Amino acid sequence: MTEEQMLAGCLQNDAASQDALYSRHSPRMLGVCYRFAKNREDAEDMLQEGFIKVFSQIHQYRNEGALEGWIRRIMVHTCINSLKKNKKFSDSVDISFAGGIGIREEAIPGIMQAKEVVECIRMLPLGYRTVLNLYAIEGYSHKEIGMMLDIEESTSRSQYTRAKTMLEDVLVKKKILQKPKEKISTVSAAM
Amino acid sequence: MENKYNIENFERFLREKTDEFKMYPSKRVWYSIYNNMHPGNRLPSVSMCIILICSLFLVGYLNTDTQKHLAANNDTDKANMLLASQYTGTDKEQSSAGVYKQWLTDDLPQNPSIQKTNNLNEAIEDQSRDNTDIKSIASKYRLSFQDDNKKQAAGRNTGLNSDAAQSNTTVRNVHTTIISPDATVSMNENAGFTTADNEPGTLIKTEKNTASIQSASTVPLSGTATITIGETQENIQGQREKTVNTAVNDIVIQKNTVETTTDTPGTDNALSVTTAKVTDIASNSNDVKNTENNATAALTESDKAWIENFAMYNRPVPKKWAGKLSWQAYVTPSAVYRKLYNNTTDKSLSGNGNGNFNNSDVDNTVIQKPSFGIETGLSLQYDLLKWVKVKAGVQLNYTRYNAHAFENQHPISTSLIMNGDDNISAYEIFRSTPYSNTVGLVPIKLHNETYQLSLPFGADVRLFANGKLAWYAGATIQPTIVIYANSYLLSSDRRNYVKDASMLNRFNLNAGFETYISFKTSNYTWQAGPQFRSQIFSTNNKVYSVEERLMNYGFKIGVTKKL
Repeated sequence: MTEEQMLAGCLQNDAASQDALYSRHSPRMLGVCYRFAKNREDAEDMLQEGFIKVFSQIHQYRNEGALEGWIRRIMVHTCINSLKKNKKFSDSVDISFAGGIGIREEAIPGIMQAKEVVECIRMLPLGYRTVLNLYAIEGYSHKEIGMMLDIEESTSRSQYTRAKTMLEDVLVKKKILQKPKEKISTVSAAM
Repeated sequence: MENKYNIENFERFLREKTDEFKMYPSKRVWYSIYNNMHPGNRLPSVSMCIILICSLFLVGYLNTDTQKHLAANNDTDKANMLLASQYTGTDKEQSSAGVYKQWLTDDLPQNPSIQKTNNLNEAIEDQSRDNTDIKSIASKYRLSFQDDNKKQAAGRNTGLNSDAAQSNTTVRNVHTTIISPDATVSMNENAGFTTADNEPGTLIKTEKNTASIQSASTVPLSGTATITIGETQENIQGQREKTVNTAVNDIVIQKNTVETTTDTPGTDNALSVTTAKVTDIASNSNDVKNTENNATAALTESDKAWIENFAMYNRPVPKKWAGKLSWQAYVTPSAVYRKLYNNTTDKSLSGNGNGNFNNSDVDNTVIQKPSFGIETGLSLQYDLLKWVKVKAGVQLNYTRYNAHAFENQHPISTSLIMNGDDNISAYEIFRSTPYSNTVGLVPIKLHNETYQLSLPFGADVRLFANGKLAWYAGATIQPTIVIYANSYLLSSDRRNYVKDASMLNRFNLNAGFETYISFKTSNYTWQAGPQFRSQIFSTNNKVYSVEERLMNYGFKIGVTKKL
């Protein structure tokens, strides 16, 4: 079934077309939700809510961009709305400092890196993780993030900086990411 | 292996890696979306639940034994006649209300082979009140059939000769007079009761609410007392000394007339039995309120045979627990959750540099989801107080939760952290497993499941009652034995699952908490309400370093019947 056929079927509320659309996009979208969610169960709940919105609002899609991008934006907004319902979230996005993450140094095979990177992101404190997801991966600006999360733009920037530092540290320890050579030499010289 | 990424292109790296990441949602998600988008074509889960609940109600309804109920109603007349005509037992009988009945009878040739134990009117009242069947009446009033020797003895005791005692009796009519509290009755206390040897007998109030007919003679009394009911005077004929004991609030006077004839050819002994049951006499007044009700029935030969047969095989069985004991059958569909804890005795493993050990929060590092469980059982309940029931029974439990994992074609080696016997040290054991927690070929659900047998005991407390409805809260302790289990253990690095049931605690203890609404129907009481069941000790034994506690959130549906 082509994307046009799926879209036409979904506009008619056809179950087979909806199933096809869901089957095609749900694995990646669940990955998106999983990066925001506390656990897989919450991620599936977000995915479910997101796809109901997708099918309910499919007539608003105007073929101006990729369908996956449109679905993804709905998913991200669904995730943010779901997180904002939790009081802990609003507390966590405003914190200025979070403790470090204990990580064992090890080399991860390339084939497992995607999963490991996502798991490392999920190890970040909720506020850091959300800002990092929105800025570095989903491509929202700090201004947009501030509006989405009801925080200052500067807060978003500082949250991202800390999140990035923390995640870099984790990924380097796991040998998924390398430090630039000049940085390593600087650190060595300092020692 | 040289990584092509470095911190300089951090955002690009993150985007690429996260785009590669895919997860496959469970079927439940699609079912929920489908049901939401197509509410008219809901997938079977909802309809199956409705069918299941309807089936339970249907089974309960069909098991209410309506035939027995109908049979009881049809046999009401038989029971009345039986109890009216053929009782020959003690003259004074204490009813449940503590009231003594008086029987004043003519010289009728009663059938002494059947023991009289109680009053017809009480039987009729009880039957209409409780809607009990003939069996319960017969056993309640200790109806029994005597052998020949006892027949003769009974005949002698009642002053009747053995021929008369053995003659067959046919009851023609039963007249029951229940005098309502609205009418007034005055009784001539000095009524002319006389004994057979002409000694006078008098009706005397001996206590506030007690009156008796007394005479100096040992020969049975005979005579007539006059009771004024409203404007009508009724005569009561009497024989033998009787005692009238009345209750304070039970204002009823009854008069029964039973006409009988022997079926001996050539005789026509029309007999009448007049019974007066005075259950309240005001201390300083003769005013008693009364009502009247007549019932007529006939006893045929076949009825009599049935009665005799029934009496033969339904000897009295004392029921010490009657009315207080009941049994309950129930089923509780539930959602089974689990909570995992690190339980390593070697606290030095809590650092990050201990080889394969992963000390992160084990409860959140694995993807496990609740699943369906069910509990079903039978229990015996005893009404300790009006508002407290204690109960004990037997229960079968099925618990399950799912671990999302991957299955690999080739098993890999992994290790489990075990606690040492000294409660200080820990050691690793190695296993090979095809199940990976993090990455693998085929996504798979691992079912951690147990089949258990429990012996729950506890108590229910009534919080509120209104007519047929009542609200209860209860708790039970449930010693449990695991009959069979599938158990998947987490490896020390939390990356793999190892199928191994040898670490299970065979015996465990559960606590159950429930609240429910009960609704009484004619024969059964139905209960429905939420239930929470929590496992007190870990599913696995102390040697394995991960503790697991199961929690069931269920909805209990039960039916209770009084024994």
